[in-house]
Amino acid sequence: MRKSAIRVFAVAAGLLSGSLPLFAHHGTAVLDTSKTLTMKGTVTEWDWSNPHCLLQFDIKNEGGQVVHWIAETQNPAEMVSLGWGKASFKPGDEVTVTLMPVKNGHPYGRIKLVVLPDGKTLVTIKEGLTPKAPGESSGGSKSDDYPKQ
Amino acid sequence: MGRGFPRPYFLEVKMAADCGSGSISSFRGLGHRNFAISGEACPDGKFIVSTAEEAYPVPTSSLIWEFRFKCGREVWKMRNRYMASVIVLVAAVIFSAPVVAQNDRPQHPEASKVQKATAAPAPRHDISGTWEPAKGPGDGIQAYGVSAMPNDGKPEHQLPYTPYGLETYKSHKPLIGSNEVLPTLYNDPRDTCEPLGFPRANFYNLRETQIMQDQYKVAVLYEYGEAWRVIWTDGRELPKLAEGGVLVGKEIREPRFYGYSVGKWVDDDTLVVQTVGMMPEDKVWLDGTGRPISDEVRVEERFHRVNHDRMELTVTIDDPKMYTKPWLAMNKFAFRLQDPHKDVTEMYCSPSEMEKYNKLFGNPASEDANKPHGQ
Repeated sequence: MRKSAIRVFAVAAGLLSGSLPLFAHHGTAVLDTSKTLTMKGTVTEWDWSNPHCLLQFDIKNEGGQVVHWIAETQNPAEMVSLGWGKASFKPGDEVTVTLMPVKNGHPYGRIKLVVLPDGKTLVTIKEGLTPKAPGESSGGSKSDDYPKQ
Repeated sequence: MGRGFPRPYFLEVKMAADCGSGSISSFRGLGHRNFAISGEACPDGKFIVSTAEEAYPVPTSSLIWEFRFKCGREVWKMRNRYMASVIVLVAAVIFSAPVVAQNDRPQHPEASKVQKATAAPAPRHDISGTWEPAKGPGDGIQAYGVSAMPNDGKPEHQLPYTPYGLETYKSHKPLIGSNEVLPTLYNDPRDTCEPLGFPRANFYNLRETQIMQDQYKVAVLYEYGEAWRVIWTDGRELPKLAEGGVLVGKEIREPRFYGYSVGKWVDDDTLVVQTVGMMPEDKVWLDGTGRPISDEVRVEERFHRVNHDRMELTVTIDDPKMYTKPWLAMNKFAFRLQDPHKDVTEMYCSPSEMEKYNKLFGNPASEDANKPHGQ
């Protein structure tokens, strides 16, 4: 069992050591995965559409100038399972957006979470929504010993 | 808990008194960056620990570890040992947090609660129901290609391409996987809203899958692309491949995106399905990473309903045009039965929405993406 305990630790340590985000429609080629930005802004448009929903919002930069941002989420089916909806935002909503920006420095990014005017937080992550990575088994494929009840 | 996290860490432990009676012990937890960790002790005395990341990250280590337990009278002893493992796990999770606060260490209200659960046996010759990948809807995305042979460059996952198969593969520009291109450069037919076709429906975004059947046929309704296919179980013969399509009786019929499927029950809970007559390689891909498939493919699916609540799908590809030998693309991919009242969300491809997305986001986000910032 001591061996098993070490195994558990190895799993946890391996999991915690790093990761790359991944979406179903396209990968991370455009994103700077090392950066996370958080900004307060005013919603101008919320597109509930495929292949990704788009949140458009204006922020004021340090010089007082308005910068227009466009940030994507997953697709509507995925977002429904995360508690988002077509009515999640309306123009004029004051929101705080945390996102991963694109590499080219333009005001685009992939949303990690949004804090709504009422303080509620919408996230783009959820337990169990996990795509397969290279070398990883699929559900059950390594679990040949799963009980036949 | 670590400050600044949207959700607290928690660890929930469910213990059964006797693993030999069919009851299940389990734990699940959330750690740093919302990594999910869970485990199940099975009635046959084995123990499976699963860990999964959230937020679509790519895990850096193998996710399934097995723990072998003995049953019967040794359960209590095992349980103590098991708890030692859990403590190590919790320690690892908490230690990794950016802020560790001794006093606000979480205590889930369900912790240590004893709960028994036993799945009923599989009904005979019945795979109907709404099924979701057992590890969650995202488990069927298969962003790195078919689940049993991910496209990761490892020698053991190299497919047995024919020269033409390899040439076809290299002509494909996917948006996901290890050879992903920028959103302006793809040529995946998916992104012009072409139907995924079969067998790709099993190998890309396999999500909520509704299966309905009567005495003549089994209908499979895929969430992605709102696609459906019919598997005939009325005893008819599988059509033979013919020039430009298939031969059904004496009639030449057209190739189809979802082919022609015939199923046979090989035992009480296993339906084996053969499918032929799909579209040629200029219309369809095998998976999201651009592996090829042709109109000469013959696909075998084994739907095995392990018990009332669980089904496993195994798929073999035999395509002599693209591959030199048959190979296993999906190996016991597990589904979990859902509430029959569940209303599955539609997941469609709309050309106008795709155009708007590319104009508003995909193209400007891709611009100069491979150049250093500011150049």
